[in-house]
Amino acid sequence: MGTPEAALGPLEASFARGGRASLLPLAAGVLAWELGARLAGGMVPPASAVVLRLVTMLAGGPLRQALLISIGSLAVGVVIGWLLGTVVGVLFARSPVVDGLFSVYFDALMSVPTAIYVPVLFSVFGVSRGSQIAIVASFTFFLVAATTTSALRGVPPGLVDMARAFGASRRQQFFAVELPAAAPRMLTGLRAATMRAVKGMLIGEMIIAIRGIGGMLKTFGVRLDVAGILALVLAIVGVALLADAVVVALGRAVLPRLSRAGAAPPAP
Amino acid sequence: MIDVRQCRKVYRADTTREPLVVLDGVDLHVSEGEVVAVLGPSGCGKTTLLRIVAGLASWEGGEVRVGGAPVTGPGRDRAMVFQDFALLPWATVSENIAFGLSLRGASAAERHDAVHRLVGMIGLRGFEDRYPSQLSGGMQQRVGLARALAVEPRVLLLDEPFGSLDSITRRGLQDDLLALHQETGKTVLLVTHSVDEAARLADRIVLLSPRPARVLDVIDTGLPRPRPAHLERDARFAALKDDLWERLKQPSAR
Repeated sequence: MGTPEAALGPLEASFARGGRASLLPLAAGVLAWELGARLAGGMVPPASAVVLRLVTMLAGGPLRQALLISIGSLAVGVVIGWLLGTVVGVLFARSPVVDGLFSVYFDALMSVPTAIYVPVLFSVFGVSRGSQIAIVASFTFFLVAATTTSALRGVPPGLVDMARAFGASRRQQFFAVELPAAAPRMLTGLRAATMRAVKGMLIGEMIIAIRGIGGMLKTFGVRLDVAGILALVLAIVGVALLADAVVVALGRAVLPRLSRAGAAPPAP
Repeated sequence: MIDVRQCRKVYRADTTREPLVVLDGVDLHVSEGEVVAVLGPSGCGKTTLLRIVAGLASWEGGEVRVGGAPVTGPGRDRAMVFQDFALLPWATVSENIAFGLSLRGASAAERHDAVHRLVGMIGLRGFEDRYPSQLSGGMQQRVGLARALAVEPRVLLLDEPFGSLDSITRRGLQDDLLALHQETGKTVLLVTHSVDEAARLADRIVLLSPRPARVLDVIDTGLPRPRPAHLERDARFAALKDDLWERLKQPSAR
């Protein structure tokens, strides 16, 4: 008779679809946090207290100020990092000379923990917004450049060959074939780089500036204000999700065919 | 239309390695409106020869001319159809068909007219807004054919165009190609490793030896145009294929 193939039951099937079902672990986690914190006491405030604190902070001035500052640096830094990263990535992919001469250095610089650039950039730009933006840009740059190069190198050569056969100039080959072919992977790289940029924004603010979310984190840390810290963490997660949503929306607007290609979710 | 004299192609990966002679003095002549098949085993260099005629590959000796003019690169007089279709996955059927035209800066009206005309000719009306991933292999290759025809070349260069298709689909497309040739009268240079395909489609067949490729023979198929409906039943067809197989077994240049 044989073994019947395992089929998903209706409940499992609705979980497997994801979507709203994926809120269940979150709900369970929040519930566990709330009960656990109340029962155990100690330093960890319950979820309700943290959310309340976040709402209170948002209503007042300082958090909103800090958010604006942080998001501002994030936005400008990401754009700069993406522009530079794309240009460098394209250069490495298209020029064997550039690749031969510089790829060793690029790889070396990329493998250094990016946090090390913070004091370097600080010494160049001083305590200024420029410093903050440069830090965010540096966190963004390497990943964008690397994925751009790899995306361009991954273009099926048969397609470029076809374009050549139909008389495409080198420039046409690039814009009509290579760039559109590489675009989905480049977008995935941008999403991942944006997540790194959020980390860079925080690291930069925590180490150098005393403004922005990172600055507030530092202040609360010194005061051992756990509820405040956790509230800020929630705010940071919100910023990260917002940034990702913006990048995805931009991607869809610029490359409407992407949803067909199916951009992969970014690696953390 | 196509004139290849003593073409020699030597491939050399770098100066430390022995040069590899791919084509060893190949002659090829295709008259206007003819269908010529280059037949040989895989790796014999027939695709290289086609690419040289297309202007995609260089060569080290001999002359290559199309329409009397020496080949210096890809040109408007030649269009190619690829074994793996080479359609742009992010473009619709219409956009793919118009690709060659868009590279030349054709206006939207020109592109639209060409697409409209060709979509009917290849039997894909109604599929203009579909993407290649939504099409079967046979349909994709039809788009490839339409794309080549859209630029109104004098010569169609087909690189094992039906090699990726199952035999049923392949037959359908071979029949379509015969009909297209009947209708347009284009000069066709076809590369294939299928004896049946060469016999079915071509006016003349050029047999290439394994690498280094030389012309073993040039055979006139002697089959009428348009092809009779049941070619299988035609004694000449069977005899031709038999003859080709025999010649292919003895790879020595005459």
